[in-house]
Amino acid sequence: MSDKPTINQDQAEARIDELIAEAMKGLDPKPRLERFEEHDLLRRCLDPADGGSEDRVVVSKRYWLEDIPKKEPNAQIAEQVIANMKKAGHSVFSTNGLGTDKPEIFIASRPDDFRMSLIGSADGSLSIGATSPCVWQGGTPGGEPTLD
Amino acid sequence: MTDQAEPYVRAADEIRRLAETHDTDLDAFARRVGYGLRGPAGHRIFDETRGHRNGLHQAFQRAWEDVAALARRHGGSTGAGPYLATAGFGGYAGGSLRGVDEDAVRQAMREAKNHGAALCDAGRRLAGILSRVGVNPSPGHQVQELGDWLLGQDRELRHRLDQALAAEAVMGDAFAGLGSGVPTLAERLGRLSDAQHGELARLHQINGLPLGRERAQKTAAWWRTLSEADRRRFTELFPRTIGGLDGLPSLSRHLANERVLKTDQRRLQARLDTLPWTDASGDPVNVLERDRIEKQLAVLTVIQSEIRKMNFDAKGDPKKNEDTWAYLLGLDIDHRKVIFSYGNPDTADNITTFVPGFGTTITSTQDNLKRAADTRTFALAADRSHSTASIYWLDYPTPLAFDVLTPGNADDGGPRLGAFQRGLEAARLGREAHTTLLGHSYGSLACGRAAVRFPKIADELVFVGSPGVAVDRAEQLRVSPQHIWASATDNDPVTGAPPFPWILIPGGRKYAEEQGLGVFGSDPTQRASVGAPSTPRPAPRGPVDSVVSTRTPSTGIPIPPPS
Repeated sequence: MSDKPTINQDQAEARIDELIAEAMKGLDPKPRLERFEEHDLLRRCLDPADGGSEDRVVVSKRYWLEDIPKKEPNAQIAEQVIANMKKAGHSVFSTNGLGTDKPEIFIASRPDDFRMSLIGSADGSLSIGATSPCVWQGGTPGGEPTLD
Repeated sequence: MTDQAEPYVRAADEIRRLAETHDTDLDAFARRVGYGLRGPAGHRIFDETRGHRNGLHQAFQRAWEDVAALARRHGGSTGAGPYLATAGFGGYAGGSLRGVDEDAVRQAMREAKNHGAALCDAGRRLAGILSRVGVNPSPGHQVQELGDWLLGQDRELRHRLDQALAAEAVMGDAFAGLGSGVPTLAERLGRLSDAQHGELARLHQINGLPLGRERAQKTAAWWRTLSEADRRRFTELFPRTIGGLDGLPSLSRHLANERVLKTDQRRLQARLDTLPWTDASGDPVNVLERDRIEKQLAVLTVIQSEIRKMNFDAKGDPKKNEDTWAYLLGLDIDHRKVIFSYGNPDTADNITTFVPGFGTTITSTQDNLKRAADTRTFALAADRSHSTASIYWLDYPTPLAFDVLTPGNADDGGPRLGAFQRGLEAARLGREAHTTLLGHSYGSLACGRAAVRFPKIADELVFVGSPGVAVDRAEQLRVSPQHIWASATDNDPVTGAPPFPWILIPGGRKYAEEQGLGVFGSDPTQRASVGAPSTPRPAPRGPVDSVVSTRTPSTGIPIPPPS
C-alpha cells in the first residue's frame, strides 16, 4: 500500500496554500498571511497509521493572519472559515471557543486528508496552518528524503 | 664543675632538650605527604623532606657539640648528646600509585603549619642559646630556615591539591580530542595559574554535592564569581566540563558545547579518514565502525545546521535577538547525550523539556529536534505575547529492546533530568517561568522518576503515549494533580488497554484489565490514578498547546482538544 505514488512535496505545499486560500475566502478585510518564522516545511513520516514507509515526508506550513485588528473580528473570522470549508466539502471535526476571540478549529480536507487548524492566540492574533499526509518527496516510492 | 663551665653545661642541656623535642617535627608531615600525594610530585617532596630531616638533626648535633666542647674546655661535663630518632620515617608509601588522597594531603598541610611554626620557634631559641654563650648561632638559623620551608609546604600542598582537584573537576575533557592536535589535559592544566587551579578545585568540591537545587545554585554562583577572562579560558580548555554544568547560563553552555561539536567533528572525521577499508586480502573491514561514525557525523551536521538556521541570518551574521536563538545545552555524541533548546530558557516565559522514549538513538535527533521546534511553534500560536523555550533532552540510555520492560534505564536518567531542571532554575536567577516536563513513551517514566525525587520538578507534567510512570497516585509525583496531563491515542499499544507487554503473557491480558495496570504502575490516562481530565483523549492546555506524538495518524499536527 505504501508503495503507491503520491503527490510530491511541491504539490503538497501548493495544496496547503490552496486549502488556506479556500479558508480565507470572502474575509473582509482580507488578512495578509505572514509565514511563521523558522517553522520547518518538512518532517519525516514517522510511525504512520497506514503502516507504510517512513521514507515519506510530511509537509507543514503555518501563517499568522496580519493587518487585521486583534480579538474583535476573530469570532466572525472563525465562523466564515467554518462555512467556507464545509461548503468546499471538508470535515470540520473539532472546534473550541466559537463565538469568542480565541477560537480553535480543526479540519480534515476531503478527499486527501490534509489537517488544518485555525488557532486564536492569547494576545488576540490568529494563525492558520495545514499539514499533509505522508507523501513521497518526489512523488514516486523509493529513496530517502532530504529534509531541510 | 667550674663556674666558668656552668653556662656552657646549662646551654648544652637546653640544646639537648630542644633537639629531643623537635627532632621528629618533619616526620608526620612526610608520612602524610607520602601517603596522600602519590606519583612523582609526592616522591619528590618526600625525598626533600628526608634530606631536611637529616639537616635538622645535623644542626642540633653540631650546636650541641660546639657548646659541649667549650664546656669540656672549661672543665665541665655534659653527659651524652641528644638522642635523636634514628629510624627513618619509612619508605615512600605511594610507590607507583598516582592520585591524591585529599584527606591525607589536608592533614599534611596542617602538620606543615603547626610543626613549621614550632620549628621556627625552636630555631630562634637555639640561635639565642648559642649567641648567649658566644657560639656561632648559624645552626639556629638553619633550624629556623627548615621551619620556614615547612611552613611553605602548607602553601605548596594547597597548590598541589588544587591542581589535583582541578584535574578531577575537568576529567571529562581528558579524552577530548586525542589524535586531533588538541593538547593533553595535563598540558592544558599546566597553562593555568594557581588561582585558576583554586577555582577549579572549588568546582570539584561543588560537584561532590548530591544532584539537586543546592548544587545547581552553587555552580551558578561559582560561575558568576569568575572573571570574564577565566570563564573564557575554562571554556576554551575544558569545553565538555563547562558545557555540562547544570546551573550555568545557557549561552555559556552553548558556547562550550559548540566547541565540543567542532572538536568531535574533527576527531570523528580524522578517525574515518584513517580507517582502512579493506584488509590485506581485500575483504571489507571496519564496516560497523564506519557506519557508526558516519551516523555520528550526520547528527553533528544536523545540530550544526539547526544552530546556523536559528542563530544566523542569511548573510551569516548573528541574529540580534538572542532570546530566539537555539542553544546547545549538552552534547556527548558517544554517550547518547543531546540537549538542545529552541529559544533561551534563561529568559523565556515558558519552558518545555521534552524527554523521548523507546527506540531513541542518536539518529533520532533530527526528528526529535523537529518535535521540539514544533512544540515551540504551537506554543507561540497559542500565545504570541509570551516566549517559549522548547528543549529536547536526551541524556539517559533510552531502551532499545526488551529493556523497555524494566525501569533501570529511567532510574539512570531521572536524577540527571532533575539536576538539569534545577540547573535551568538556577540559571534563570529568580526570573519567573512556567515550566513543563513532557515525557513521551518510556521518557515519561524517566520524568516520573525525576518528579518523585525532586519536589515540584516543573509546573506541569505531560505524559504522552505513556506505559505508566511508576507511581500509583498522582500526588506521588509531587506536582499538584491538576497540573498533570496525560494523552494517548486509541491505536497506541503502549497505552491501550490492555498494555502491550501483558498481552505476551498468558492470562496477562485478563490480569492487566482487572488491575488497570500499565507496565510501570497505573496507566496515567485512567482518571482515578492521575487526576487528568476525565475524557479518554485529553489534550494538554496552557502554554504547551499541542503535543506531537508518533502514535497519531500519519500527520504531525497536534492531537486536537476534545470538542
